[in-house]
Amino acid sequence: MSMYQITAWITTFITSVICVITYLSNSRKEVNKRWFLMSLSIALWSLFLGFMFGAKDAKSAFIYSKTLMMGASFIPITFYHFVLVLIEKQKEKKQRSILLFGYLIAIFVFLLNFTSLLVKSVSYKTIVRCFYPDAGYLFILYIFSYFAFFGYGCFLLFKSEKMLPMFKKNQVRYILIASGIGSVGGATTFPLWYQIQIVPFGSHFVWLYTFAISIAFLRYILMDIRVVVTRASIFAFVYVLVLGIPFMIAKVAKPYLVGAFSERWWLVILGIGMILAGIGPFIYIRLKSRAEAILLKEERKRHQDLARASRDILRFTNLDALLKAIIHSLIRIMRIKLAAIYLADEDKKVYSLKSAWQPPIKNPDLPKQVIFNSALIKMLSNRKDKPLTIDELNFYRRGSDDLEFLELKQIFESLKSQLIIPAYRTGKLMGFLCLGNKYSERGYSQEDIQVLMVLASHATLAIENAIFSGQERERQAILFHSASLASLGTMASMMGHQVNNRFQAVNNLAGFSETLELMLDSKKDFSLDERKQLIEKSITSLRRISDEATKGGETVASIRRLGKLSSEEFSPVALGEVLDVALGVLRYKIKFDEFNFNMDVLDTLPKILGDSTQLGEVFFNLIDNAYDAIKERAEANSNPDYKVEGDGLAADSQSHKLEGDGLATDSQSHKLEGDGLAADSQSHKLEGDGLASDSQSRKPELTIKAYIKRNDKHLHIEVSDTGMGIKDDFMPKLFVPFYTTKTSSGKGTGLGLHVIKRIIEFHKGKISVESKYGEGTTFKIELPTAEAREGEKTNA
Amino acid sequence: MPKLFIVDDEPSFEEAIKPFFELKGFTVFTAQSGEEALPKIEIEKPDVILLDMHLKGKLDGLGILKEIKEKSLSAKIIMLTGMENDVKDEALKIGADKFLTKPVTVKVLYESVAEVLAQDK
Repeated sequence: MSMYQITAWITTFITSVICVITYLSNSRKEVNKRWFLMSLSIALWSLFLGFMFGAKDAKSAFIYSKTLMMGASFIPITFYHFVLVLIEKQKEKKQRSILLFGYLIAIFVFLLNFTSLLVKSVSYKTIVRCFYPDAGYLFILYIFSYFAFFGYGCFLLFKSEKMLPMFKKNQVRYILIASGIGSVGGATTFPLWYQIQIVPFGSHFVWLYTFAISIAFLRYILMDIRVVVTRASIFAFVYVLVLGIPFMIAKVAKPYLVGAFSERWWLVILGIGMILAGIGPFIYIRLKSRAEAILLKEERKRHQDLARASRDILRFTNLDALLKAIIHSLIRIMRIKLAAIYLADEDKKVYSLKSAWQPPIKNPDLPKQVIFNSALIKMLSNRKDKPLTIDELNFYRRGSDDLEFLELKQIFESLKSQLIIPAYRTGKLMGFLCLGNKYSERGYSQEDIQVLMVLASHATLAIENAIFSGQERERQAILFHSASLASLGTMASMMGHQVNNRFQAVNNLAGFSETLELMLDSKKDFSLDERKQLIEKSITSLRRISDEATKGGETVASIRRLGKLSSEEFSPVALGEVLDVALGVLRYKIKFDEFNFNMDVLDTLPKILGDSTQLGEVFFNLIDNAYDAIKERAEANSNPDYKVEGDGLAADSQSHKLEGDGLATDSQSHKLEGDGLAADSQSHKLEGDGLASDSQSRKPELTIKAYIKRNDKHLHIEVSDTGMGIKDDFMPKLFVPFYTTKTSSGKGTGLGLHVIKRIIEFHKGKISVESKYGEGTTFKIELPTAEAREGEKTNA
Repeated sequence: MPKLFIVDDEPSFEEAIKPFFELKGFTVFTAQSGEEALPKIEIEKPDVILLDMHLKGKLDGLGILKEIKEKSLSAKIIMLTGMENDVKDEALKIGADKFLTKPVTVKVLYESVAEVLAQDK
């Protein structure tokens, strides 16, 4: 069996397999049908070619050559038709005429095989060592059609390459090169028909050609052909060296080696060969990376930018800002015309457009919603995290009437997109990114898509984070408000109590009327002096009633002030007034004779820009807490067995249970809100004037101090007590939401230091605490003056 | 002559209520805090005690109530408060005989005192 026969049948085998695969993969697609027909023609041709090469006599050789030409007659036209369908030009009028013409020629050539006009005869040709056909008069027609159709087909491929999207471009390049080489290779068989002594070496490689083309169009994503060619060349180069060098050495240096090593001289060669084979791969890899770095420099840079953007977006906590950032990065780095993000709306069963940009249009005309069971979502869900391009849809299209394809194509068009990247989180489709065409009109390469997938997964994480933060903030705001209201409730309740006391006093004094009545009833005779006394007593009572009424009125006024629930109306407020409100309420509960109350707050201090109600709450709570701490300590000192429950601030052990509620959020907010607290928890100060051991004989102190520092537009306020203090362990958790919940005489809830901190921060201030357990605590507050805040506004 | 003990830090109680009840035939004692009241109560053994919830000093109304009950004094106790009624149940549980919310008129005070005094008989 000759080489020719072997290679011919290899071609047959491979081409037949390709036939079958092509048919099975997608028989309804036009391009597959065309390729199937062409492969079939080639398979038939090569089958009989093989037989012909193996023919033992002229007669059988003659028959085989006719049959092989029957197969061959259709090769050119089927190729041409395949190309047309590939570049989607088969419907053009001009092309249809050409096709018709081509098929007619093919049929004609086919029929010619029944005569000897195509294949005149066979003769034994030494150059191939077998019988080989001789050309008939009309063989030239076949050659003509062959070159015409292959040539023009390749030309069309070449021309169309520029205008195709990336993936098709690659395909076309592969096919063009393969066809070019293949057709030239095929043509090498012609000269010998005319006794021109050229070896038909091309026939050995036909299988390669069909194989290459099949790969090109059966696989959807192909490596960039430049990369393939580069790698192949470098590989060839390296291995030519690896194999060639020992060979060269053997040839050139053989005499010397034999001289040196006699019979074992070839071991040296082998040794050199092995060394080279060892280092060969490394050289290959290095050269390959260098070459590809240069080749793909621009693409690599883009991908690096995208990778960096992926990491950057993780720092966003605001959802809107995050989405805008993602879209801007995509448009800028990928240089595309449009980007949009859709996110799932759990309750509404749709994916809503959250952010989009089509420079310069800020709100491009895109569908606002995509429903859960639209074709697009179904397709994305089926493919898990694989991105989807319109090209791929086209590729897998099952024929021109594929309804699903048409629906998807319409969706893509309405989304103005070329690529859609799904965002998955815990197995669910959270949303998707839509990317439009690149400005360069080139498609998305495989590497592009891979990098974009990384961006998408980072984006998904960041989006989830932002949503969670947003929800957290909302939740905190709600908790804050209810705590605020509860605290206000307590204050109002206390004030109500005070008013009731005023009324009781009024009642008591008015009760003098009852006394008078009793006296009148007794019908006793009153002396002048006695009458005078009664009248004077009445006058006193009435005056006192008036006083009590006035006091009541003042309390009502403070209740009225409370009634202005925290609107965000900031106005300049004097600290003195705020403290008056707070103390006014507390005067009821706090026995100011039990301790030394020092207030060092001058009227001349600058005003704070703020909400007097909220600030009132803050100081009300701080002073209340301070007072409780003092009482605790007094208890502890008088009763040695008395154990302080919890952190010294909570009077009730329930506070620990409440802390457990939402611990995850506690630690998170602690991280988010850290400002000055970490620093302060370490330092402890001896409070006041060294009351440590001597607490029993000395009166406790509660001090409120306010001052300004030079060149610092802040008002500094300190509320300190010589109470129980706070244990070290509890210091870090001090400002955690609801950590401190205490009951004051069983009524209401304290504001909790967390809420106090929020109010201070809302006023653009800072709060910190220093404490020593057993000795006392100082809260330090810093608030910008009204002047400073005004300055901010004018600067902004 | 029934004995009435008033524990309240509001001075108008002593000024105005005391004369009234005295005219009605009571002997009236007053105190402004728990610490002041308890020893006096033990000595005088009043029949009725008018006790305010919120007082100066360490003990509040409930505390004093408990102390009185612990000492098994036989006085009837009327609690008086200006705040909400959420401790009403507790006070009654500990052993208060009546619970009033301020403001109350002198007349109501008198009627309550008469009512609790009549309870045993």
